Amino acid sequence: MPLIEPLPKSLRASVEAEGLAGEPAVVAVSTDFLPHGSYGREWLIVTPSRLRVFTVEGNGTEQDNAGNERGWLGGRLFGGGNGAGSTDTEKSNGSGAGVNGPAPSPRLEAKLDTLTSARTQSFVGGGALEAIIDGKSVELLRFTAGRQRTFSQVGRYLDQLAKHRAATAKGEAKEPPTIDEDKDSDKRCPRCRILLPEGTKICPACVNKTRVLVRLSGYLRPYRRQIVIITLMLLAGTLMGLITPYLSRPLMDVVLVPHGEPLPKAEREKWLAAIVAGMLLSQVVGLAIHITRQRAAAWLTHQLAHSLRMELYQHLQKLSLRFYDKRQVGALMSRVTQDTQQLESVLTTGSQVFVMPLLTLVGVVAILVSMDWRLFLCVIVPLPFVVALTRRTVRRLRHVWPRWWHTRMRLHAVINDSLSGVRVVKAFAQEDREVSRFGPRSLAVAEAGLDAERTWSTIMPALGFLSGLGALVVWYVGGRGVLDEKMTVGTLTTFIAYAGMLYGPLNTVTDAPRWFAQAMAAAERIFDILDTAPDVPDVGEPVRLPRIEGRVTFENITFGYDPLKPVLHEVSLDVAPGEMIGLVGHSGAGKSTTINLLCRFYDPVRGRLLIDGVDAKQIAQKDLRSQIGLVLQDTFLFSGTVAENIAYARPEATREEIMAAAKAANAHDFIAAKPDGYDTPVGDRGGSLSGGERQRIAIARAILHNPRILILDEATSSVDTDTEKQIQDAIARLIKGRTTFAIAHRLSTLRNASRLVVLKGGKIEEMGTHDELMAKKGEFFRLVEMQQEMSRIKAIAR
Amino acid sequence: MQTNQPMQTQAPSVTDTTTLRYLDAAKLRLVRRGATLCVTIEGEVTHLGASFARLFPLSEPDRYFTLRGGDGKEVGLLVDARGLDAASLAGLAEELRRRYVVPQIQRVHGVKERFGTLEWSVTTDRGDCRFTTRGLRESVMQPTPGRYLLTDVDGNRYDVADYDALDATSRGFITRYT
Repeated sequence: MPLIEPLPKSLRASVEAEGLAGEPAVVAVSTDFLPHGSYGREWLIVTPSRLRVFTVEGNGTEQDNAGNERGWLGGRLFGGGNGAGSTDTEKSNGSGAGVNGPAPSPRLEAKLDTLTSARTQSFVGGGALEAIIDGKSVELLRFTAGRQRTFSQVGRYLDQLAKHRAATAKGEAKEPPTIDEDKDSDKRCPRCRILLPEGTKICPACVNKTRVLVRLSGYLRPYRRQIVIITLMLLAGTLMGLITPYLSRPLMDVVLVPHGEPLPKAEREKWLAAIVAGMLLSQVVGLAIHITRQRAAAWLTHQLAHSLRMELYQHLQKLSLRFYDKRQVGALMSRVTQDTQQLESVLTTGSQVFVMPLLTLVGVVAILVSMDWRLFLCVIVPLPFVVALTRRTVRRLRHVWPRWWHTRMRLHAVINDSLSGVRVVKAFAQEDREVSRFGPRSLAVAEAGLDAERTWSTIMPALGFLSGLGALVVWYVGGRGVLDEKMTVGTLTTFIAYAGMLYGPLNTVTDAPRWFAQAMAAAERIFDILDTAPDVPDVGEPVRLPRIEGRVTFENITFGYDPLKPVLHEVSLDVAPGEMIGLVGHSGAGKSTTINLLCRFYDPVRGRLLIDGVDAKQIAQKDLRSQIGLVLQDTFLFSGTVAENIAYARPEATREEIMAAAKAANAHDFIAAKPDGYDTPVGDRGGSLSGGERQRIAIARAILHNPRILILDEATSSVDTDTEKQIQDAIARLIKGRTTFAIAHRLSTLRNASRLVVLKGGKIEEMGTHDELMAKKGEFFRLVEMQQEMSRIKAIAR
Repeated sequence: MQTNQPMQTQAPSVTDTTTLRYLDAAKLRLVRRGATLCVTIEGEVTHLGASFARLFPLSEPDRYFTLRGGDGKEVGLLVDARGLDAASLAGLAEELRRRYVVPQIQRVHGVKERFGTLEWSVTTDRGDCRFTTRGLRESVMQPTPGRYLLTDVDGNRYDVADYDALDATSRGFITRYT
């Protein structure tokens, strides 16, 4: 498929004038950098027969950018949204004639048949597209890092094109090259051109709070009935709360400070008893409703938090390793625990704090207006101030709390880091440095917290004071009314009581934005993870392989964790079932990467991985993973008992099977000697197990798992000779009849391998049996020599 | 016990170290002579100073035993003791009771909290006792729901086999401190 970016007007005119339009362009891409090293715009246009580079003249690169009608380059480079782009376009249209004037001629032109190869070089902050034309090396153009991806594609395409032409000239028919579709080139939101956050396609600007809220309410749907009941109770409770002050009016006017002709004393006593009883009743009923409602609401929110937490955790388990590469485990943990908890607390307390006062507010306003609307106006005199102050401070508050949260997170990460690496810290005597690293972070938490609390504790009392002013006004104006006998004492006290109820809820309602902001932030962070699609997904109808034979084929596999920086180059390897392959090479040669691909933790960028002749991408991941066994360098045991750990991959295994596996792994005897035998706890409290013991448990786990393909990563390290022999024996038993890939730095341990694959710089350097490679005196021989030298030095040092 | 040299007529050598040997209960005879346990595998060998240990002391205390010879090496596994004759069964029970001193807590009388340590006063199947645990949750294992294993500062074990079977007061103490 052609790779065409929209041409600027000036260039389009000249290109059309020269008749290039007659021949469809295959590639038309722009760069933002000139060969002599300054910003400027050039275009590379490739047609089936020719390759040309145009320099787009004009002083302002911005004008050229703007001339690009979609404006996306402009957006990319200058970060302007749509708005900025469109004004630029108008500007350039105005001066369009000027730009159109001199028809640009290509700075560089070549017939494609003279091209013999092409490549892209990457520098710091940019790169260059180079080609060999007519036997001479030519720099076609340069670009900045933003265009790196596009031009590596173009370079690869041009190179393949040249190779293809050479091949056809020799009479070898091959498929003509195509340009690969660049899947994740767009780092920006297609709507607003804002840079998207890493690893997500969700644009933070285009996602609105309402949508988060709507989505959140989706989780509430199963609980519709409970919500209706809770809401009804809210209404009833609010009503009950409004009754008591209402009764205080007759209490004043009829009983205590009779207005007009007073009733006889006995009558008034009866009234008093009745009114107080009514107050008591309304309060008791209100209390009952309140308790019931709180309990129901608590149940609801914990249910909701639980289901959200479950969904989040299930999703986290589904995500590929690539996702985890980019994130700190501590931060993810807090998403699962703290964010859901925060959301939960906001939903419990927050919704009550928000909804209940709102209802009260409506009720109170209705009563106040009906009692005396002029006095009501007096009450709300301070209201504009309160609202204005709230609005001004909310923005600051929204900023202040997340900052506190963030500093706490960073502190958490530091603690996690240095405490889990405490051995390293001690070994290098870096305790003081760890403390000094901790200090500033802790201080930052203190400062952010202080800032938040101070802001909060300044604003809230101020708001309280302002709202209290209303009551003072009422006392004065209402007091005058009572003196003038336009108003009864009862009306005034009732009014004051209600006015107090007006500002109370108002305070909490102004508190609501904080709650709301916190909840939405937490919800967004949770949804952000939920929206991350697993990037090694199963295909629609995966191929089932209930029993893998064990043939593994690497077919021209190129892979890099960053697709632009391949770690493996065109690796091809065919492994027969039952073979043991030893992977050898310096660190960084690609050994672990090979293993990662084999487990399908990642998919190759190019090429295919075949298992039993089936593309690994087509195989159901469950089938694949359940038949691959790993014994890793750092033997990770889960918290649980020894037996549970051995049976990790097959929880249904019988005790006999577990013990048989342990026996085969040379682990049974030391396990049986433990006071708790197979019930000995390991994991976070498993300090009682030595490194060698943990390794043998891991081997037992792999034996019981009975995988068809086995991966050993430096399984014997840091153990004494006797233990190592036991482990080696165990491994020898383990690999029998399985396709095995083993990485070991100690080359002698790979003597049993049927073949050794020597990796160097991501390519297969040599392949053969131990003896063959030793006889060949190549890379492997050199590595062995070096290691022997090393052990000799160590021996002397001892 | 180690000083007791095993007087064994060497068995047809079982040097296969990779597979487990399961013993037939019907062929085992256990006799205790003083402090020494003698285990005879009928038609084969007699181990002096032998010992039995549980392989799954928490999850399967009444099955899966390992028989070790006087040299501490494993002779074989006994899965089900029910095949033993009555005398041997009693011998096994006695051996296990000697080896596993894990009193069953039947009643908790009180727990005193003092500077991060807890002082327990309990009645167990082996009598009343007092013990001290450190920390609140670090000295408690919960192998299965409803079961609690306490380890005191000296490494002694105390077992609450069935939480629900305890009286309310004891349950209250356990819930509060574990």
